[in-house]
Amino acid sequence: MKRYLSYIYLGLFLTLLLPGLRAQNMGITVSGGLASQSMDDMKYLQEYILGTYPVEGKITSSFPPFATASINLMKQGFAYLHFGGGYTYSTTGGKSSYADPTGSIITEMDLSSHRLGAFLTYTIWEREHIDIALNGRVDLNLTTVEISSGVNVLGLINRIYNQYRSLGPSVSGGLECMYKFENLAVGILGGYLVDIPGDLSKTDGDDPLTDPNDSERVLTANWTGWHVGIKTRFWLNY
Amino acid sequence: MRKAFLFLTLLSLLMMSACYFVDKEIYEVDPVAGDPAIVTVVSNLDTLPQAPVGDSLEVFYSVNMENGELFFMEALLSDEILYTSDSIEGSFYVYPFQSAGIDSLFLDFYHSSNTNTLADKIGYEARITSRSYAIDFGEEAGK
Repeated sequence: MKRYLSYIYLGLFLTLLLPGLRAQNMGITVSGGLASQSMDDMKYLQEYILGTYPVEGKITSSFPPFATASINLMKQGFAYLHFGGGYTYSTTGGKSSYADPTGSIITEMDLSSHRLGAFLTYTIWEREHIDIALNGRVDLNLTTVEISSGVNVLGLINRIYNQYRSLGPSVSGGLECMYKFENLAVGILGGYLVDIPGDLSKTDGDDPLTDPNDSERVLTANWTGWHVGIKTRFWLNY
Repeated sequence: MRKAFLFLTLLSLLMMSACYFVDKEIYEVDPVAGDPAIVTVVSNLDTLPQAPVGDSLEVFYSVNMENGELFFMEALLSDEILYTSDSIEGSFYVYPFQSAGIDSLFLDFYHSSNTNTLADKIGYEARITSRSYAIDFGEEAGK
């Protein structure tokens, strides 16, 4: 996985060295919104855990579309080209539970994605205040999965907590529409991310998170899905 | 420039609350209790009113559970546990030095409550069916 990261940074570094680009503006983009995720394995694991309850529990949330945010350094390249790199964070989770007057069982799964990568934005349509651009991005994705289960029966409490992580590349593409002010632009964006998730393993001990019904199969957390949001862009050296 | 950074800071603060996935909903259930277990206890003391201990007295018990599960049973004499078992039938001895005169022997059977609660399902909640028998330890015997 270090190789992917090296490629990303080498590409970014070489692009920044292009002679025609040095005098161009630097900027910051900040975006936030909602992202959906496939999370097939995590939904499967959640169903399995629910099936181990001695009572009939219920899944109250199963990895719904949730928050994503990104902050990037950007440089204006050729006339219609912006490029840069930065950090993206996404999160989602799942919960199943059961409670009656004698006690409760609660299982929570919290997932976070930390992506570091580079992007290119190509403007396909531009007017005085509005531009529409295509956006492509490559990231290295570090996923953390925290699974906690708590059983409380007549005041006797037993808790289990495990943390897993995986590393893998992801690519995304999308469209953005920005309304430009003097040195600031705000707009909306949407796109699709394709994640190539790595195998989940325990953070302490590297034990893989295997399928409870097939010990040969290691589970993954797949962030593939749509995202929509709002975006702001600031030019720094105006 | 300053306004831009102010806007950026406010936007970041607004987005902070979305940094962690939170679901506060808990699926709450009011379980419907099932029919209570029907417990039938048979002992050799059933037909021996004030059974004399003599040198020793062997006590047999057998419990039949319908619609329930026996967790364990205890035999108590003057609040002291004489015998415990998780078997549906068994026997134990009572000796004259364990009490004096007429005393009560309790056989307590702990079994499933059938309330269908979480505590019931994992065996943390029990209903007790108790039987008591008068035992004659004799005038001379004593603790």
